[in-house]
Amino acid sequence: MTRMQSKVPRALAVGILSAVLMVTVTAQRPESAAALLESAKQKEQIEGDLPGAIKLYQAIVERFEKSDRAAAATALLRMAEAYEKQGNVQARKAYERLVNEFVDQAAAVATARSRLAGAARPYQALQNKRVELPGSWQYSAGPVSADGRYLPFADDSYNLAIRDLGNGTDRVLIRPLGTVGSRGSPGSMVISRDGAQFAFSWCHQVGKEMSRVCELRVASLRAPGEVRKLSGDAETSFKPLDWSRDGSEVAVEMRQSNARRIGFVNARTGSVRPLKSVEWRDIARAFISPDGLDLAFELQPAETSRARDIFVLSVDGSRELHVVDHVSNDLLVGWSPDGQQLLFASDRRGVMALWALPWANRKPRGEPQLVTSDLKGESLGISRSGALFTQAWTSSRDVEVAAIDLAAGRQTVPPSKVVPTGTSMNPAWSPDGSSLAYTTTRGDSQVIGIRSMATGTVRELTVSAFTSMQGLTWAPDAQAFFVSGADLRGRYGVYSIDVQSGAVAPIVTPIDRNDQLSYEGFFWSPDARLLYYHSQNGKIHEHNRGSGTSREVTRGPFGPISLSPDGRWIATSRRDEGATHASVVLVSTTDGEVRELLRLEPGHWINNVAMLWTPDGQGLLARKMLTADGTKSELWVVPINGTAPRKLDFDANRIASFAPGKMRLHPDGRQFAFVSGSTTAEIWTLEHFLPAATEVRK
Amino acid sequence: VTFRNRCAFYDEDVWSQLAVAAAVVIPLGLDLYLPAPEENPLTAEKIALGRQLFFDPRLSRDGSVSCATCHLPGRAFSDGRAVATGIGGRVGRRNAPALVNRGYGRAFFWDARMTSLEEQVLKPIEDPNEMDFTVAEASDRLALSADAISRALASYVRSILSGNSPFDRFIDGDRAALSEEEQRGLAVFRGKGNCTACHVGPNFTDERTHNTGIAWATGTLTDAGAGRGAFKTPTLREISRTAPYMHDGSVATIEAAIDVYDRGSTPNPGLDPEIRPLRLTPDEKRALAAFLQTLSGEVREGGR
Repeated sequence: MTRMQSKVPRALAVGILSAVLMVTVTAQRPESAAALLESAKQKEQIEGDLPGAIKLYQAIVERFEKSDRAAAATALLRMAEAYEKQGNVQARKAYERLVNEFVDQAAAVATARSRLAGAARPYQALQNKRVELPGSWQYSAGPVSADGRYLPFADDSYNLAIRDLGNGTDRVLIRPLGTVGSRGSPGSMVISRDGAQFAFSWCHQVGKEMSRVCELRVASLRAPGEVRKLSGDAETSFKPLDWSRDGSEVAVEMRQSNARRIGFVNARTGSVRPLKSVEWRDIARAFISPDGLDLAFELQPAETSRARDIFVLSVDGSRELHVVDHVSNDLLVGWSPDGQQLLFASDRRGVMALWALPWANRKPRGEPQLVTSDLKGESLGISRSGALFTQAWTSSRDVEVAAIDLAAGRQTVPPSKVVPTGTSMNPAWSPDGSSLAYTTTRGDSQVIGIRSMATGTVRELTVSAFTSMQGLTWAPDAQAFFVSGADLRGRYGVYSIDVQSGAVAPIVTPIDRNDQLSYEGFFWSPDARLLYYHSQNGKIHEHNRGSGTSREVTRGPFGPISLSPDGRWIATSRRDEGATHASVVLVSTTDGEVRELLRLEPGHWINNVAMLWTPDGQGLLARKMLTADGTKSELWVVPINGTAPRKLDFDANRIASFAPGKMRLHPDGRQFAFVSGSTTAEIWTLEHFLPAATEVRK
Repeated sequence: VTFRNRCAFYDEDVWSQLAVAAAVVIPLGLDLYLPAPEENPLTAEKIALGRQLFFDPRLSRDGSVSCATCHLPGRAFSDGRAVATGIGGRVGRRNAPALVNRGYGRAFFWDARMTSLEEQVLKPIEDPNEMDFTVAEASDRLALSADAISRALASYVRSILSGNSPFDRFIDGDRAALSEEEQRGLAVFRGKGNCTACHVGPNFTDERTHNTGIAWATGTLTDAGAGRGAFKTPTLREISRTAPYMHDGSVATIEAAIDVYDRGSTPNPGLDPEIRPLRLTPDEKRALAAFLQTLSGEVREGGR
């Protein structure tokens, strides 16, 4: 310490001393209650230091209990809330003190009473139970059936299936046709209240524009082969949300281009009642009330935040109520079986917790009450017996880097995780190879991490301008990233993000949702003038940064693309409908000519990621999939001169099969970044959380 | 699945039942949920009274001007002039907007300064360049309370609905409702033309204000609007009947409006980032103009 002090220049030492004195003087000066409250809030909300905030609130209460009752009551209330966030029983004592000792502070006392009323409910012993899932489970495909017996899911072959929770068996209902999304694949489904039929979306490409649209179909649960198309064509896609109580209608989200509506489809005739436009906003979930008169749904109300609110629309379209209007993120959970509570999840107390809004006479009756802070994931609905089903995701995805020798065909240094976050994806080498960027998540925030490969330091850039973001790619000058995604107005397109400031600017907008881009990102021509990218429906695009114009290079059953170092060829995979062989092809950027480079053996396919050009432009690094479920694969170098491909001595099974942005080669060709790990869905149930769950009489 | 079910989404029987319940018939293409304040539900009586008031010149000081003077039913409730003309030939500052589908609106007047129809409908009565009266005087003259006038006029305006256009029929499954060229125009509208940046939803407006550069001339702001030259996005419904265009009626034709946006309008410090040169080809412009014509359909008013 002494040695360090001796190195401090005299002038600086004087400055530091002055600063210390100023702080000391400031600390000794009496401060207003408002200023102290502000400091405490800062500690609680900005720094996330709950114990520190509680101490400050406590000090304010003691100091201003007599001189500034309003401030003391506010501090006591906030202290109670902070304790509540911690799950500390002191919360109750703080609320009780407010009620008993601050009777002159009516508003704070009313809030405290309401909280105590909520806390008095028999919710403390709640425990989530994990549901056993089949090994083939990929993700939930819709809400639980009304009787709580069936859980719809998509399996690892994209079949639409249900798990019978009664006997633990699974049944495939609908299988995709052809390659996924081309001739058709099932989307989400909902089961009618009587369990007799189910509605599901059937998505496929139509027309010369190869637009991806989703029809609404219905089938009997007993005979799922007998499918009826209800509605949907090249202009309108449907997503089923819920069934009316009598099974005569299906509540749906309808999408036309980038605009959405909420409405009903007659389950017999297919006729549509479009109730309300929600512009670009998507309807994640909606539930019809037990009396069948109202439809609750969640929606992003503002363009400045991804946070959602809860709305209730009468099914005849006669009125709408904004029933949960709060700055926090509020997600719909469902109706209590007796229709007396509307359940929702909210992060208003710092964690996503389950809340109940009392409901009577088709209106809220009172303030929401906390049910439990132990809510796992997002709602899959509430069964008639009052069991809540939720889906939570756990992720072990991370970016790893291995050293490889392409000439020798082997790895030289085994893979290691770059920055283990559990959610990192989309590795992207900077143009000079000195940094590796990736995307990750921190809570609800999307973050771009930039790791210096020389020092290992990481800089993080929080990106809040998008509802979704994919295809992270550096600009040639390393001053910006390019991504595809939808902004907070749901406008889908290509955007740039300034590497320093995080400022977002549109590059190609709007892009029709039907032309959704693949997750593999962008490729620059050698002169950095042209940008190439690929739509999931097989279109290859070129955007001229100078003129701002775009053109379609070609279209076909192409997989993700990669541009050769000389900018003349696009490497991609091709799989024609009905063909037994997939192939590796080169597409000319000048005239769209397609040359087949390699034909794969039957049953083998190229993983749905971009192949990587070797730095000398003489070969392609491709991941060949040996099994349909993506569990077995190999890395191969495919020379473009037609000589025999060479298998790389590398454990390609380590590479995640269904993650965006999986593989990237360092500009020097000696380091290989990829995404490992997996994302796993868990299903949980929460029972007995409704004090008086009673089944509504039919 | 019958051909009808695939091609005709909308069930006329359901439509009619709902129409009776709601006191208005909602034309094809619009939302069934037509918002109305809880304190002013739509009723046939209020719509009928509002209709009478809408055409009644006694709402103006000298009894010469009614709402319908500047909002002509035959022009989708606009007037064909660049700017509105009030009593004694007084000239206003802004274009009289089309009143179709305002029941779905969230902001009123070109500068979006009102948030409810109940408030909005009284303002022209008091504007010196329009009716130059006071609501109290109008109330006395008509022996109706201000609230009654406001609620009736708002109810009538809510009943003015435009839908069932060729575009709506196309969306409904009638693929012959739009020609090849009009369909190409629809693709430009949704894509390269970037029109849906503001003209979204069944009413083709985001109900928000944008600085599109129209209020700027050679570096000068001619009308601040909602601030720095921002004005509310107008509906494109009935656009072929509502020329001239923009808040000041300065653009005479649809083609000219397309040209304005194609060149990126007039650069200015607050220009909306969505306004940028579009580089449309002549064929794309023609197709876009042809498509916009298809947004004119059937205008209903008075609940009929």
